[in-house]
Amino acid sequence: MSASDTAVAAPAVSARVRSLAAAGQWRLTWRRFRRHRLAVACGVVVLLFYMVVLFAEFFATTDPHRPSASFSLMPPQTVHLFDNGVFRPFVYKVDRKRDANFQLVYTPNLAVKIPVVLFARGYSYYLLGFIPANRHLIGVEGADAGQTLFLFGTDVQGRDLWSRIMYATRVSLTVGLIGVTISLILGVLLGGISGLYGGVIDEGIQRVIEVLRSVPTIPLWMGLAAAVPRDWSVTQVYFAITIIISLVSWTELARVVRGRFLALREEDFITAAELDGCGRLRIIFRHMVPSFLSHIIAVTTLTLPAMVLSETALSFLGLGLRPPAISWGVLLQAAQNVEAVAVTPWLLLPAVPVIFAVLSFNFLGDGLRDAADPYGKA
Amino acid sequence: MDATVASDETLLAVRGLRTHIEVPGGTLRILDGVDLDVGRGRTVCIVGESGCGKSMTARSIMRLVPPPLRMIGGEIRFRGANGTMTDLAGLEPYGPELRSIRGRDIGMIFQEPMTALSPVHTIGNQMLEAIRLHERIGRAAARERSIDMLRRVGLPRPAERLDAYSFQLSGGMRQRAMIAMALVCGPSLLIADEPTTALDVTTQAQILDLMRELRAEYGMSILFITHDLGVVAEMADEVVVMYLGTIVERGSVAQVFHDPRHPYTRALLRSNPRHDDKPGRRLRVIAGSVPDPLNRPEFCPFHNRCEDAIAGTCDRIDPPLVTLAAGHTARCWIAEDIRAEPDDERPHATAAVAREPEPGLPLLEVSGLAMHFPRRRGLLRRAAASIRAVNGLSLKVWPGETLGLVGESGCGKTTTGRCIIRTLDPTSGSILYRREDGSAIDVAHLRKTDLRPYRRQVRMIFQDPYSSLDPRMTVAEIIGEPLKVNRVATGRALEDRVAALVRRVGLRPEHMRRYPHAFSGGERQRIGIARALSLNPRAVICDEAVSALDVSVQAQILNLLRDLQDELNLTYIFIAHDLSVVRHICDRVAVMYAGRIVEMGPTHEVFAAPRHPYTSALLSAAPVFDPDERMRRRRIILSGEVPDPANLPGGCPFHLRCPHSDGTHCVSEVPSMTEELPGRQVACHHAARLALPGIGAPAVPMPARLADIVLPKGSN
Repeated sequence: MSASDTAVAAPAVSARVRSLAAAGQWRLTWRRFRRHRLAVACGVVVLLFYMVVLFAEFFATTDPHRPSASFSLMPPQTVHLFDNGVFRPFVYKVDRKRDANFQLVYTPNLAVKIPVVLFARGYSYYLLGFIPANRHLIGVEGADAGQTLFLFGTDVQGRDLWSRIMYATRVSLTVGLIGVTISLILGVLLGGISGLYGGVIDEGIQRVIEVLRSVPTIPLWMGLAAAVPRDWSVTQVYFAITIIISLVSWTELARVVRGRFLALREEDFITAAELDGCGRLRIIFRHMVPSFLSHIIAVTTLTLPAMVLSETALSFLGLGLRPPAISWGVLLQAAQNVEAVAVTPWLLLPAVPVIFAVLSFNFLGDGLRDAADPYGKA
Repeated sequence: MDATVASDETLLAVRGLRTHIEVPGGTLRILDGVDLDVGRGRTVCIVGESGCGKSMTARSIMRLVPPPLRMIGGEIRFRGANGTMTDLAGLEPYGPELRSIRGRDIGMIFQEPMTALSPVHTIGNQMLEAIRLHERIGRAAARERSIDMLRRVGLPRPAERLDAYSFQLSGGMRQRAMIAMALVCGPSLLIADEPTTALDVTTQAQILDLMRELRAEYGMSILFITHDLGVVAEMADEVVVMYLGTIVERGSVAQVFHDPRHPYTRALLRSNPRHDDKPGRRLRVIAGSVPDPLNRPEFCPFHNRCEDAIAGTCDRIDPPLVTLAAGHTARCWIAEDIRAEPDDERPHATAAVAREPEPGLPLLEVSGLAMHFPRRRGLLRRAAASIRAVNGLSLKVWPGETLGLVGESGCGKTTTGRCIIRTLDPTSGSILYRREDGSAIDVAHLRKTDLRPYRRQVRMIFQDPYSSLDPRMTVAEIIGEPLKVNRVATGRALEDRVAALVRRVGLRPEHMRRYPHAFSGGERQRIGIARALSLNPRAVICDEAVSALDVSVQAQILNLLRDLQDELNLTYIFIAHDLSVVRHICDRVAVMYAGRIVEMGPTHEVFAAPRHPYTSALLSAAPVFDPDERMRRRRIILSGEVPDPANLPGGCPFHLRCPHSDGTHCVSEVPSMTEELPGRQVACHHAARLALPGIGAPAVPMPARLADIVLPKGSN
């Protein structure tokens, strides 16, 4: 047999073409994602957020649970970077006086400069839950941070808001994660069954999804949250809230998964796999799942901000987490009055990380979704 | 409008057209200096394979280049209605002058009528818009004109069709509607971008005929873009051959077909399977495949695939434009010295004559196969009518032969293939598979779990090389999957077997770790072939395996299939709609229509002397490859369209379109397959007395009037 004319002539290829040729799905996805500058930047921001989640205590300056009546409702302190021309960050000590109306007034004492340093000693904690440590990212030297450094001011009980926001990040973002995992499992399972089997099962599941989606969410959550007994511990309430939120958000993922299954069933390569002798399970896990995995990751990343916002909203309304638990929503609950806006506006600062987190997740999710299917069958 | 005599006046003169796009690897030169001329009343065909830039030429002429592509240079001089030449390249792409030229002076029709017509507007809306954009006439008058135009293009019941939506029309009718829309303002130039590629052979014949009539009546010039050389031979006055964005050869159709001078043109003409070929002749192929546009060879774009390239010249200096005769130019260093070569006389390894069916038992015996898809209506999904895709089909396939299954879209050939391979569960009938030990088993109603041994012996090659390979698996994994799943080999032995398969289909084993996206269409089809062969099957069903490939790649794959059959003693069931391919590779052929086989027999006999009127019409509808032949051949044009499988006519399924229907027997009784001569079966009531023309039949002089071409129905 002459293979000369049937063989393919090898063209001279560049190294770039060669590496592209051997690039699997994930490499190609990464390459496309990399070009989306905004998404990459937001990815870095998200990573920073999760660093805070892991090392919240390290980023805090004071114990967020320790109340101190003497520092109630103190405004944020400015960190001065240059001391007489030399780079030596410091804060002024704050003096507290009561004025003629017995209202607390805080004035900086320009005589006492307290240097601000990195990796200072502060209150002790357990890093990652088991490593004892007492260093913090920012702190003061030679004085107790609990008395002198209030970067974002304090709340009505005198607790440092900066540290509370750090701890709140941990809670709010992990609620998001756990909720998304539950949604993922439910969504893939039910969506997969729906798409794969079709018929009556498909119809049934789709109708359930439609009913769930047509119920207005806030009253639904309010109803479910009100059903949570008041005497449950903070942790129990926490898990109840995550389950409540994920009970509604799995529907989005289920529909996406079902759509992908339905489309994939008709593809030639799935027929070829069946003809090769693959059993049903192998077809699902080896041939179909990798096809929509990247989509799922993208959709999941876009579900997270919705979770975070739901939790924040619920807690803000007093229906979700309650003090002594700290989350962004709980912190914002303290800012629910006109006084907060007019007199102590720094109490609204917890809204800033919410906005940043939601925006970053959204942009990241967009970038992932655009890069998700490198074969262009979006 | 009265016909204008074709004159030497130039209607369109394009010089140095350049269209580029910036990509993160460099600049892709989609069009790199295109020159062409269209005279008044002449038809110029641009021919080339996919990726050569022919569609982009049309778009650049119309100044409809979609960003990020940009037309960066060139002149497009067009003679407008007032007789003066304007340079379209100098006009604003969306300015009023160019917009008045588009639609009124230049009309355009596209390949896919479904996507080219708006799905949310009626045909009438679109046509009226086209008219009223350019002329100030009232709605009623515009409607009249539209109905007139629809009638002229042969759309039945034009007044009703005016208010129909595009999805309510069939493919052929949509294409006619699009032609009507393009012509309604009486343009002097019609640009047709592959208008018949998506249509069946018989519908294509109707549309090409229509275009010829309209051309004669309106004196239009046509710029016809296609990849099908047969269509070029049918329609063109002049031919322009493109490769990778440059024009490699230009000339009259006789010059290019009978005296091609550029190596690419010669190779293209040679790699087409032809009706008058000797069966079993090996197709000459063009080595390699069209390179990635980023890897475009410098200077002569074809030099890396050219058999006659001169090293040091063709790859160092831009080839000059050589004038070979009046109107015949080629851009090549060796164009003047090339002379006509004899055809490649090398036969395939076994005898050049079609194989006779071996005596003995058939490998596959299909009897009375029926596949009906129920149409479920209503909330409770009750089965109402059914789509009768396959209706009582019987055939036999002998070991070692290639049986062709031919028909147009909707005839049920793909469904038959799927039933045989059991991805579908047949509604009724039997499929007897004879195993090597001689015992036969009916696979038609086996459960999926019992089909495993059968599926190892009968494999399939799919049509679309892009969707038949899992994009997320490497080539080694794809080919190794059947071996792994059937536990034939593991580890090192598996790798070796896969490497051997890869080598056998002509790919390099080093590329085994690559993913399908790194390969071209032809190479992917080779991977599909390797996957089909991995279990050492006895029979392979090729479901339109070469239909989606370019002509030159098709030739490579056909040669490969033939070689593999000789080497491994395979049996092929070759499903196709392209008759010249079938003639080239198939020993026996079965012609299908509306879910039944209407004729079956040895290929050369069926093609030379068909016994069924549909076969005869199909053969005559296929474009003739020889430009001289088109004036001589008498063509049978069928009226109507392929019947809807949900709504088949009673009696013989072909009687509504058949020129020989007798109006009584044909309408009431379904003809059964009778074997008049040994090995030849026909399903027609009148087969015995009909003498039908085929390919290779003596030429009949063309009648003076077009109306004589359509044979009168017997019942008139």
